[in-house]
Amino acid sequence: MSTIMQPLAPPGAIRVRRPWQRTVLSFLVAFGPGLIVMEADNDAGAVSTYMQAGGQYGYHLLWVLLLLLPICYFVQEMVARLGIATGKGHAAMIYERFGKAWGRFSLFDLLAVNFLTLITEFAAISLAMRGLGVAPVISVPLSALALVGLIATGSYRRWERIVVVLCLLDLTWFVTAALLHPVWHEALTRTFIPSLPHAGVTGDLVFLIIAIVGTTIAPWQLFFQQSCVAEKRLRFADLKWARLDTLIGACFTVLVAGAMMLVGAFAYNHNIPFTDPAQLAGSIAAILPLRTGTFIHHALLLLMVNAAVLGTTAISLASAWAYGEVAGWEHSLHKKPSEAPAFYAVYALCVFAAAGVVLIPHLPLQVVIITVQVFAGLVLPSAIIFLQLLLNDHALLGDRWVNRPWNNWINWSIVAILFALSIVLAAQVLLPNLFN
Amino acid sequence: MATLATHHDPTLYVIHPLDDIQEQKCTSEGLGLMELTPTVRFSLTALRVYLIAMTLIILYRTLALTNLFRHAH
Repeated sequence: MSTIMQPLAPPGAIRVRRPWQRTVLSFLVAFGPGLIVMEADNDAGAVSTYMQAGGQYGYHLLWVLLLLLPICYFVQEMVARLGIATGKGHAAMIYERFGKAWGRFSLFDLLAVNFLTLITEFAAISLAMRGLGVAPVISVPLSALALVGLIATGSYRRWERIVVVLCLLDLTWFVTAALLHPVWHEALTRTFIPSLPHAGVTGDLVFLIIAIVGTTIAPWQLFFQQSCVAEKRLRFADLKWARLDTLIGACFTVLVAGAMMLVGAFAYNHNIPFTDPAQLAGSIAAILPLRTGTFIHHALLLLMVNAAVLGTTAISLASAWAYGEVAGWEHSLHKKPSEAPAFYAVYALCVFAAAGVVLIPHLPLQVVIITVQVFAGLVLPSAIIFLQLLLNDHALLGDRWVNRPWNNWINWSIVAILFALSIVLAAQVLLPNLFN
Repeated sequence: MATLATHHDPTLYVIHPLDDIQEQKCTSEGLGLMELTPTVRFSLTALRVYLIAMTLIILYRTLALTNLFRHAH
């Protein structure tokens, strides 16, 4: 008689019967950071920018999104790889490998851009909730409290699950865009065949293209995803799933951005002037049948709030993680607020300070939004240069994790494109009438 | 990710990264700062100067847009 020894299941292991189940589940347990970082990038500023692009140029700028898809993926793949290889955040790596001076400089840039961006998130919450009949003095503090409550449970998993659900709520953008009956044939043609508006290259067009690039790839994303991957303790074997997660996130974010542009294009096709998405929601509702109009009005305003909430939690976490890494504090969502007080304090400070600024009467929000886009566009190429140098650090990463030559070709090309745009942006800031 | 299977028991296991044993990661301990060639060092310094200058220009333009200097003229 023979006795078969049943292998003991490792603690916390999930049992499956079929290899395909193992494959699917292995992906699902690694899934999250890629989708969150990409979808959180479709924040309030992005909603405003994409809808403005659609409102001013119809379907003409859809091709820009298609070009940005591989750029998003390749940049964020490097961050995910670095996070898995080192188990540390981006700020920590810059500090350790380039020294305190560069570490502080990068951190200051990040915190400054992030704080300005957070102001725009709360401005969007204020605008959208006002459209739904809630006064800013109520909606802004309440949303700030809810955003702090979202992370204060001492569980990374809980935070991740909630945020993934919020990301998936963005599927409503497709329903909203479809209800506005876009001219699909023209939209698809403009997506795959680049074209310029009838007026040609103007200052407004250049600025808008740079704003689209700046809003689709932002500096905080580099810091956020690497810290998030480290926080989730993704293993070397998870790299392929992290890549797939990032690719899915990149495709999803670009499709959602396209849907936002289609909504904006409705205004272009019907000659509806608007200054912000909340105003457009009201105008669209006024010309559609009551039921559809009410749905689209409420959906657009709630999607604006969702975009701002996603942006705020990701950006504030990027700041809190980065500051914690550099300061050497406990900086983890696995810790309770009493165990990592400084980490949670930085997050709460970012949220409450930005919310407080939005409540200042007569604040020139449009100036803040423009400054954020310009500043982010300026900082981004230099942030990617550090990433690129770190991914070529053989002493740290060895041959297994460093960039391959083709990686370097692609990434230096991306840096060159972003730098060229940054210089055009700089020229436009110095000479506002350059392209007119 | 764990896979335990025998001929008699094809049971497979998947472990969430947060429940798994932590791996030994690449570390910079003992490496010091990254070695940079003079060209890279010069480029990074030029980049820093460019960023500081542009930040100041953006700051000035932002303040100008908010009409902060209107009383100066």
